[in-house]
Amino acid sequence: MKKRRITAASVYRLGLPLLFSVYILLCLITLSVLSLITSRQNLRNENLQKEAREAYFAAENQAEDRIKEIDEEVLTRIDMPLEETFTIPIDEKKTLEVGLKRTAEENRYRITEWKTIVSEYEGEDTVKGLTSGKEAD
Amino acid sequence: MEDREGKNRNRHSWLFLLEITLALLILTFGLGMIVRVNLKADSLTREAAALRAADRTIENADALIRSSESEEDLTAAFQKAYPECKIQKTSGDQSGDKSGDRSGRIRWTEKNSESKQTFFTKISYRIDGDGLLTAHVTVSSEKGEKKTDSQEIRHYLMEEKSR
Repeated sequence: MKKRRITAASVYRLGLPLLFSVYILLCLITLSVLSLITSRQNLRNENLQKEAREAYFAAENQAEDRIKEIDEEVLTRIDMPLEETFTIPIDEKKTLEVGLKRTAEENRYRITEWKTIVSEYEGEDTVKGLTSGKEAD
Repeated sequence: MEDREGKNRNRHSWLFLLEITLALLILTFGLGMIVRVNLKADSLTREAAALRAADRTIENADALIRSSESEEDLTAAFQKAYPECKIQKTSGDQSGDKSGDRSGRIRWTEKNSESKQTFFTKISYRIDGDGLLTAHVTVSSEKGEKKTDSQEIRHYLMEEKSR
């Protein structure tokens, strides 16, 4: 019966360096892809922030135009109210509320309120079971 | 017997070399891909940082503009916030606007530590006879080129209104 001699070459498993390099490569690719996803998300967030700012500034610009109109009306009309409040929509959920008050000594309107109002969320994705009453199963 | 062992050893060495070559080829190709992905991620990060910096600059400019009640207030506020800014005022006759209208330009350069980029901010404003200030804020990452962000800001200057 022939006995197979164990040599250093036969102990060495073929494919190990390849497997090792593929493993390292997969790890590096995963890290790179994660980094790319994070960067893309950051850029998307910045663009969303920019859109939100543009919407808010557009509402502010409209509010300034309205204030100018009201201030001009004071000159021509004597029945102007002492206080005036108006709202301008910013987006679907937010509105800009501006309050003005007429000063007796100057007969000019002064800004007394300038705030963003967020309407209550009325979405349908309520978590069932956590809500009370009819919505809960 | 020794001859056979020698042949076996030769075959293994040859296979080992082939495998190492293959592994190196795959690694080189993979690393090339990784470098490309990382470069893309880096450019996106820079773009996001530039947008963030521009957004901050525009919000600061907006706060300064809206807190002003006259042109003097406006220029003084910018001079205080950005001491190196250049202010150029022109009256209506000089700029070709209606008489009574005033306009001007405010410019400054800022180096952003986060994105390591230099930003050029330019504000062109016009105040009409009714006291309405219209300002265009433009932030660009390269002088005269590559507009990063811009915004129109209108503000009613009560003090400027001729009554």
